[in-house]
Amino acid sequence: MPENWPLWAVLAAYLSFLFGLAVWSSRSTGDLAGYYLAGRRLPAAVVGFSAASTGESAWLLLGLTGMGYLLGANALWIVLGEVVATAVAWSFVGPRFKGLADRYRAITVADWLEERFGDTRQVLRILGSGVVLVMAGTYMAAQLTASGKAFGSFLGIPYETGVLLGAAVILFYTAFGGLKAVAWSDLLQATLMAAALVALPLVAIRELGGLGALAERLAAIEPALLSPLGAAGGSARGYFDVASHLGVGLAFLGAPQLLVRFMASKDRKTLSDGGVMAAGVIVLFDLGAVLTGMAGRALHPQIADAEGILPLLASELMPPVVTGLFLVAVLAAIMSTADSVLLLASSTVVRDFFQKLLGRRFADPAAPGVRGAAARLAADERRLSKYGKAVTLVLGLVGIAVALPEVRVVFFFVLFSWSGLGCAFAPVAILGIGWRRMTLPGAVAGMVCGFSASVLWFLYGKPVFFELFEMVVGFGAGFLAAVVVSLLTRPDPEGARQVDLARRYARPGPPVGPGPAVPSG
Amino acid sequence: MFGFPADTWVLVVVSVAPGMALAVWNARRVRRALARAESLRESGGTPPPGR
Repeated sequence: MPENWPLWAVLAAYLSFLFGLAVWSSRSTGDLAGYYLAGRRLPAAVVGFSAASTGESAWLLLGLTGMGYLLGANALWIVLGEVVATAVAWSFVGPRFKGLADRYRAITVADWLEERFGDTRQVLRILGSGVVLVMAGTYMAAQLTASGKAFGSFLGIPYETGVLLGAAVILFYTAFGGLKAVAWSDLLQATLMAAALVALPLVAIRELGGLGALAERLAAIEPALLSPLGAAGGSARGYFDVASHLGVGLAFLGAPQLLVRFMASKDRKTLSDGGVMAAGVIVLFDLGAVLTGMAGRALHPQIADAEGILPLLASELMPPVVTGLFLVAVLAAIMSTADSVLLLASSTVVRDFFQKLLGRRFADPAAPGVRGAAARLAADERRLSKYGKAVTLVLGLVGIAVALPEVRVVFFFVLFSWSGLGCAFAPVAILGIGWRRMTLPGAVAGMVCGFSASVLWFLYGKPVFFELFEMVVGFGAGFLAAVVVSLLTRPDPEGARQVDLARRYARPGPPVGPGPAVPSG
Repeated sequence: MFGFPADTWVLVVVSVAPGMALAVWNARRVRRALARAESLRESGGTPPPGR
């Protein structure tokens, strides 16, 4: 029996649960809405926990704890940005977005955008699909890299084996169970992550001798670790750091993997209850992660890799079985994000690219040869749902191929992808549900400028301008471009009517009928 | 308090309180509105919301 058998035992129990979940969920994946939106019937706890854990990823347990270690109290600005953005998204964005999504019978965010802006040329779908495929691919590969590292640091197995093991599990339950398996597994995964991030700082602070001792030790190491403005103090650099940290939460307002949770929720009440749970879980996650990092700094002032502080504290302060739970918590954080972006990419290929873009061009099912076969397939949701599972598997294999040779620090790529997705979609979605004057050219400009500004700033602006986080710049650029171009183009009366409808759907009281649905085909 | 400066404690409270208050307020508002709609429906007034 291996020496670290308790870790393996906990891991085996967790993986068995995921396999069972995949089998249970696979029964409800007969059509595209069943596979990619869990039949639009997810309850509040599931969507709330799922959105929180999907938004956070392995960055929470390894990256944010590392920031708590390096920056101390300055990292608390991230908590503020994420909690407020989550509450605003679930209170104001979600209800309106879901109201229209139900009306449009949308399955992907691109479906929603196309209907909302009357985009008959499918420009938003083409742009949005491109952004999702590139960013979600990078995001997933980064999570698989994190999986290889996590297995290595807890169990001592080779990096490549860790990547393959993590990917095999994610691929199995995501491909066969669709969003239902992904979201229900997120409920368990978020619970594990929250438990780990509450327990570890408490034990570490007890080990130090209480909060007072923690503050004393941190002040002795570096007094700025106790200050909200950090080492840069009240200088321009200090305020830009604060803006960067607050900006991390902006994607919670409208990243596509989170908008999908709104679309998949059961009803209006589910969204408001889910919002309380999502915000509460984010509070536990983020405060716990920052405090873990600070306690780790007090216990181990000099470690080579700050992002290794959580595994170090867990193996040092917890008994082996509980350390196994921490490995599972790290894997849970990885899986809860990797499965969601994998499914997002799969829905983009199957629904947006094949059914809506190609299917429209191969419109005649009676046509001979490949064109007719493609048209018949695009019209057959049951067959498409089966192909969707195959596409999910293939995309996962591509992610493995990217992750296997990539062993560099991953959180750099995670934040980059998170920003790209948030900046391309959030400004357009927010203005699309709330501003009557928004037009299709404005939406296209918002998506293009938001995404481009985020990428260009990351490559060229960030290193020379106070390291300002690309999300802040990309989000602002997307918002501004959408407003300016909308004001310069002809008003769209139908768009204004859609905003009025969104308001009516979001109103919690009576009466709101479902209204005539826009055909999805 | 506990050796941490007051502005750090203020930041902790500001990080948590406004966001949680907004989410809880919204949930209570929706519950009340839905309960009102239900009682209207039972009294034969207005139909309930669709979803």
